[in-house]
Amino acid sequence: MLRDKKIVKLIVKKEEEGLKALTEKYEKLLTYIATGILGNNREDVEECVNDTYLKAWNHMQEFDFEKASLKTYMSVIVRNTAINRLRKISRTEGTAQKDELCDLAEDYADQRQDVEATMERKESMRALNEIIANMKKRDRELVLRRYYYLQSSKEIAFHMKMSVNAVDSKLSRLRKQMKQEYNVMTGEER
Amino acid sequence: MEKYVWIDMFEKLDASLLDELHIEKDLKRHKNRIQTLFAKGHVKTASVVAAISLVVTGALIVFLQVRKKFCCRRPA
Repeated sequence: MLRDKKIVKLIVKKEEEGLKALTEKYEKLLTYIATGILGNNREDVEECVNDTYLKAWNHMQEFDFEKASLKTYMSVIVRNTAINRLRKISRTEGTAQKDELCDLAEDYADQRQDVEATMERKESMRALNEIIANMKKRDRELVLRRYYYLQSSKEIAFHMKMSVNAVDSKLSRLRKQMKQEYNVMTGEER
Repeated sequence: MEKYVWIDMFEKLDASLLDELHIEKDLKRHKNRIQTLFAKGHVKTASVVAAISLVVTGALIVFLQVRKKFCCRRPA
């Protein structure tokens, strides 16, 4: 199996061997992440993974090994591609639900609607990154699994050797904690 | 669409935070779990139970059809 650096080099040169190696190395991981977000709809998952390869093919020159590994780069692309697809599906099928929305997200939504608040949004992103970076490793894993990779509580419980109830209650506590820290960091009194 | 606002917040997350997660290990765990299920004979047991259920259900359906046809005819 080719090393990541070699794969990146080949793809930047637009050599198909690089894409083939990328597929061999990351297909399973990308499919797993896309399935976690999109569910077991094979067609959607396959299209999502293919779109991910296309994006990687077109933008590989922007990739920087100092910022992250190729595995993470590909995971980020597939995650965002899957979420865009999920949005599209929900829009066409009208399945969007108002669940799991917390106060923290409402703050973010308010800022999002205001074009002039772009700087504040950047600030809130910085705050969120800092909050997550300062969490205990296990708490961070829990939050990232749930809100970054959209894994189900059952899936998280299996991988983290916890009960489903423990996962849910821990996540609820973490959301409250994040909200408090966010308010302190952004200097908002609510 | 509000559901996605919470998800959007994580879109620009620092890649270094994701680097340490090693989500690829999930695949190994799933593989191990499947191997364990096979090794402990759970898959075999489940297959046998499913096969027996299928046969019993089939037999029951046939029995009910036959009974309906020959035993429970109402006089015209």
